Amino acid sequence: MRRVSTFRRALGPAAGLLILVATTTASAQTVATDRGYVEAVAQSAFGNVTSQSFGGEVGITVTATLQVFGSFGRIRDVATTEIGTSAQTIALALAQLQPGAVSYSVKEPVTFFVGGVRYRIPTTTMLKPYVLGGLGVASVTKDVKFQIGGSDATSSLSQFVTLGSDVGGDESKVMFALGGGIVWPAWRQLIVDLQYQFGRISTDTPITVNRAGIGVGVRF
Amino acid sequence: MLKTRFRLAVAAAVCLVGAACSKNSSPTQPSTTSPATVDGAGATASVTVPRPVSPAAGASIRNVDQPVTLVIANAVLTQSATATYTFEVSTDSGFSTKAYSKTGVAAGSSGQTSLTIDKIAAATSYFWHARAEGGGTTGPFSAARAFTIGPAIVIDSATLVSPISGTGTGARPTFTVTNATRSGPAGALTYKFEIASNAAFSPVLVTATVNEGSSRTSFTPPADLPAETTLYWRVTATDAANGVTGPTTLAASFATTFAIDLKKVVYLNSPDVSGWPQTATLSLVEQDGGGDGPVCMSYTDPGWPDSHWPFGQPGDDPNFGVYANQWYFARIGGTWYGGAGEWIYRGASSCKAGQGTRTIGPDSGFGPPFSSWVPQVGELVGFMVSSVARNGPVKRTVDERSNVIVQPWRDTSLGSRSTGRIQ
Repeated sequence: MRRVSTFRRALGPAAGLLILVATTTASAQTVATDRGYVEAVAQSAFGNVTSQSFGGEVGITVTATLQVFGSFGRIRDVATTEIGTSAQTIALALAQLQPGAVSYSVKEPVTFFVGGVRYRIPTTTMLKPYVLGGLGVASVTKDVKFQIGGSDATSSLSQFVTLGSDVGGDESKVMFALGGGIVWPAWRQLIVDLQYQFGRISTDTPITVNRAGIGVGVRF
Repeated sequence: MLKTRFRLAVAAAVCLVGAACSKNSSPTQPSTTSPATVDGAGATASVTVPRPVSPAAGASIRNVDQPVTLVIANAVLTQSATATYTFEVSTDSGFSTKAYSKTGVAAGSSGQTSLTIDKIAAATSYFWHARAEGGGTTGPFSAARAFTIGPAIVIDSATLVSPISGTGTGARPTFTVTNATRSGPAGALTYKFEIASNAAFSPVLVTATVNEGSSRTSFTPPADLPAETTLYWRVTATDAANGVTGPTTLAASFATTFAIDLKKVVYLNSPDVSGWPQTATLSLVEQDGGGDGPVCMSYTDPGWPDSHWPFGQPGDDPNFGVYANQWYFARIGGTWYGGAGEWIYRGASSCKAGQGTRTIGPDSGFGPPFSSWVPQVGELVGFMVSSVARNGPVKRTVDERSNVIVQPWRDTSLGSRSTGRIQ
């Protein structure tokens, strides 16, 4: 139920962006003349937890309004409630099984590649809005560490617990992204791209992640 | 040109998506046994080690207390997975030689799971451990915990010696068994003597537990058994320290044909002594109705106090006292009559004369019908000794008595064999 709500929340900004684009389109007839772009992206990632995402994006202009893009990046943490609950359960059990103080940390970093299309909404203004949709692959790593007496004991817990894949291992699963943004041609070929993307990764425990940030690149 | 670029880009994206989906379920430690089934998700659960609770580490368990029950505090499983448990018992800490093993033991409620194992060999040291499985993961085994099963102790049945089945006894016969044989390091044995009025021993009239004697063990009831009744007795040997009980002997019957129920006695010139505590033991009565009619009683003297003798003559010791009376019981017309007879004082023999076949009746001054009683040779006559009891000016003291011995009347002048011991 929580994931559905997150999904709906994410659709809100996307829908708003589409409406903005639609209204702008009415008077927009300018045709882009660039062949593509490349940019570096820094984003705030939020959803299950708040973290950061860094990456890059390359786009190739197919028509005046359509670009094909590929983006890659790494989200530092998308840890779900489930992995946190499992880690906490194990930590509490460890505290009963041995005398040392137990603490734990949970991270779930994601490395992804998404390819898709950008629809550039024709406009006469300097700002170039767009919407995008993409499909790709995300590699999710479950990085759970347990400390006993202040020292990392994750690799020496075999006498106390057998860790399942709920708190460890890697998964590479399909990721889709939906979003939009506005490109501002700042100076000559330099562009600034303000963007938002809703993403969903179909891991065993599906992960929803929202990214909002800025890209800086060049047109060519 | 533009179409070509578009097609290339789309093709590349599709290939990447299709090729890159994979899963490496290699958590920090290898785990899984089968695909996870928890909540329909693909992730396997984490499983902690169960915590041994009982038996305690190094516990020594008596063989008789088998079967052993192993108890663990339940393991913790993530993802709300349900656990089952595997228990193993081995003679070595590496569990290469398993004495017992069981898997699939359902988790118990209230946080603990227990398993009662089969009986295992006695006089052996064992190790046991347990682990949990669930949510697609097999947890680690708990640390091996040691316990020891004590040696086997076998106690055989005791052997009834006396009274042998079908014999007659007095009111307080001594029951004797030959000690039970045993194997193994048995502790001190005790013997439970049971006496009942029926072979089913329901109800049991007398029960007593007696420490083992050197080769035989005996028990004498502290109170009279029902008179003239067929009774049954049996014995069970027990090693209480090791909790081992041998088989109960077969029941043997006996009849208290020589017993007198003191509650039914008609007392003559004497108080009812059925309620007096028995503090002396009368072990032997020797009498001869011939001659001057001696009656000699051998008994333990519990130290009954003297009672002043009020019939002293001038010149007698003014402090002279008596401390006991002989008792005689006669069965006349189907009723037992009895009373305190001869006086006994310290420093004198316990033999008293004047109790011959024709003198015992009138001598005691009991009045009829005792006064005219003339015992026949072989007739059962009862004898007892008590603290001063006879009615009259000699005051009673502690009101205690001995047991009663009932035996056939003897008279050497009428053909009875002499015991040669009367003094």
